[in-house]
Amino acid sequence: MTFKTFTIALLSSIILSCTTANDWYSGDYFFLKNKEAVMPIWVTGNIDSNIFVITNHDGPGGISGHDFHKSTGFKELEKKYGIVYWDQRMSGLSQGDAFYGELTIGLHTEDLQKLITLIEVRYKPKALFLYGNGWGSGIALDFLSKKDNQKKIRGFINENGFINDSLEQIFKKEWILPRAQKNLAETEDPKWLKMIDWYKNNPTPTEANPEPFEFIHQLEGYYFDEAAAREVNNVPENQTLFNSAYSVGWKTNQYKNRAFIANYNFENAAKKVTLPTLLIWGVENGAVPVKAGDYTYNLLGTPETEKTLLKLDKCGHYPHLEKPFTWYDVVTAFIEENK
Amino acid sequence: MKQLLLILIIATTLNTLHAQRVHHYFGFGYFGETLTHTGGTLEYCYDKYVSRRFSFPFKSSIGFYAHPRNHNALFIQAKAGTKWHFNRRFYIGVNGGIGPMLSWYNSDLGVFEVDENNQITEVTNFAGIDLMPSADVNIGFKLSPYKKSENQHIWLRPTVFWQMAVNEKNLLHIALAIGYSIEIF
Repeated sequence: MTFKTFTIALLSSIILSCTTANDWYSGDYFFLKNKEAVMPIWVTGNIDSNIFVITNHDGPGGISGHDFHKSTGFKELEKKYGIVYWDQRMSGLSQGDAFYGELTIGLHTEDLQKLITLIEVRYKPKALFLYGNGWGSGIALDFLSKKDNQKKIRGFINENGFINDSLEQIFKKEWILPRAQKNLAETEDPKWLKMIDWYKNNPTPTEANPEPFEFIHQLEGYYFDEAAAREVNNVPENQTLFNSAYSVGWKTNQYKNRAFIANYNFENAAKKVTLPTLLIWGVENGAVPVKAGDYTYNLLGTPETEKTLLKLDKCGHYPHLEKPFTWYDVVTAFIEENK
Repeated sequence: MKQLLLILIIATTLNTLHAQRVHHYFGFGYFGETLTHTGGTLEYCYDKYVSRRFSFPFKSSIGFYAHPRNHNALFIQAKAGTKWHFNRRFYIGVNGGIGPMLSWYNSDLGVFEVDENNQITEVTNFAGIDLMPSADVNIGFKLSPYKKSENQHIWLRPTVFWQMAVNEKNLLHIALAIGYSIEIF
């Protein structure tokens, strides 16, 4: 691409982003302030349905709940229900003066509790559903296990959710090592040997170790096919860059250290949950391997007839992106059954 | 050789005379955070020429922008830089600046707190005062290059600046400023 073509393309995309209507400014937008954090809340979609799905994003850190809106799965869901997107403290587009040193799992659960109170008071919903992805599901379990919180929620959608750090580290290791060994045999690239050696020296890692996280990225364990996912979701980057709540620095200014969640364990919380629950897992997910889905399913206090584990082939950590139409069908069916 | 020496002496003399010149400008313009989030800026510039080709601008400016569903900001900057006037029409330069930035959360409904009894209170949307270092590339076009006074410019300034600090991080922003300056005395 020549400089001239690049300039024309850039200017055209800026002008288009300004002139075409986009839905990044739909619905209601407000902030929740709690203990130095100022967290954005975006309520959009079919608010008139009076049925709301409260999302809780993955992470911690480095991810925005606004990203769900880029997925075809959520875009379709917005047509039917009110959707609550928000960013956890020090994540995504959150502002304020929060400190990394004060981050705890309990504080994240407290934020979620306050968010749900805010939604209850402001919208007086007929039915609330809680959806979590990865870490967000772990926090959702913690929230549901406390006080009378399960009375507020009609159903829980657990997408590739965290359950127990040490157990997931074993599952991750089982996912990483055979792939690293296969790649080493095929390519002789020393980076695969480095992975294998790292596990020899660090047999029992925790979430405080960034390496497994990096290995999963290198082995493409978050997406089965990222290019295909981009194609099916197709959100013009110029919209998010020039004409939305996103700021340029949001991604580069996120914390990367996840040490404060090392050794998390949501098992006791899961046992207390008796709500109807839909578990959705990508079979190719390296971040929270599918074995964790089986384990969580068995652990939940929900009766067998009211819980379902859906395993999606050719899918990684983000079923709402990689299998948006199947995801939409099962999520809608679950909400309609329990609303 | 004598001719060359004469030319050099004349050039040096003219340069020295020029070096004594100081231009004062008043300017205003559009300031778009992330290019498209609308704002404005006003500035005074003290531009000291050290030669026909080079000058050192010192500026003080005030500006604002609104980024819907993110934040609004009001900022004051003290800037210093350099300009290279590579012909009578065009100049290019760089500036570095620093100053305070006041910001407010921008939302549709407000900022809320929920207390231990689940009581909801709307609180101020004032986010506080941060430090705002900035840097820009200053590309200018002189509208009236041959006049001795009322020299007018239009300019384009791709800018980066930081909001220090949001959640312990120095939040990076980009902006584009487009404006007009006129020599005031």
